[in-house]
Amino acid sequence: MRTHSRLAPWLFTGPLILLLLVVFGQSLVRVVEFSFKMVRGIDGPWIGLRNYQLVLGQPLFWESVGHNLLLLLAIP
Amino acid sequence: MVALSLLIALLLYERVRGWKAYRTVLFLPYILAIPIIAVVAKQMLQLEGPVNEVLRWLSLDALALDWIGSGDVALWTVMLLIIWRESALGVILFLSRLLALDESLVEAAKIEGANWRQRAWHVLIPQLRGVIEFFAVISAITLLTAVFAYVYMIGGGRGGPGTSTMVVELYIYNALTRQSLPASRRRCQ
Repeated sequence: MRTHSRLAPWLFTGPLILLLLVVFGQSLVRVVEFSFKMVRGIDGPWIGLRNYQLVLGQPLFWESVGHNLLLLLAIP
Repeated sequence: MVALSLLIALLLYERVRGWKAYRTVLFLPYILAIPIIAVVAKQMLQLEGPVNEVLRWLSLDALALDWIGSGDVALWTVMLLIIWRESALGVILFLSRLLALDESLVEAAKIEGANWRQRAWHVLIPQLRGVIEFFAVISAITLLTAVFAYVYMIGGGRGGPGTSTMVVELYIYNALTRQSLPASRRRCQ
């Protein structure tokens, strides 16, 4: 009885956890994988950190981030 | 946003005459679609639009700004619009929590002679703490990830005058749909 009640919550939540892992976890991993590939359809060659260098080196990107942070002022 | 909706909710909690009607009117912006709000606001806030007409009529010429066309003001206009719309959710959340509270505490404070400000600050707001935290987190998420529709409609799809209302979402959208990252296009050729 003791072990049964310890297992019960996992049995109840297990299907949902599995579903979430498949639906969200897998796509999250794929997104990170894509970020290291060249933008060419669904499967480009690996280019390492070049995409990151490209985006982070653009002043427009940092301006956008700044505007987002400025909009956070609206919370209080 | 939090302070504004908290104030409105506390005022409505005082059961001012017709508070149910006010509640409905205050929640109205939240059920309208964001693009509709943005388009209407864009019309209203034109340089010769109704808002500026009223401001000039009140002889507040200094306040009759070019709300959307000027790069310095555009982002603040968007922020005002977001505050106006998202506060509605806060009012409803706070009001529902207030109406669920135990009224005897307020009555006791009243009998002790606490005025409205003291009652609000010492009795009601501490009990609202959980809801306030929740609303603050929800607002932060909204402002970081759900402002695309506002800036897309107001900024004409390009982030406003120049790049003054560009946000990260719009940047990602532009990068995806138009390949507008100059270096990436060069690399793809």
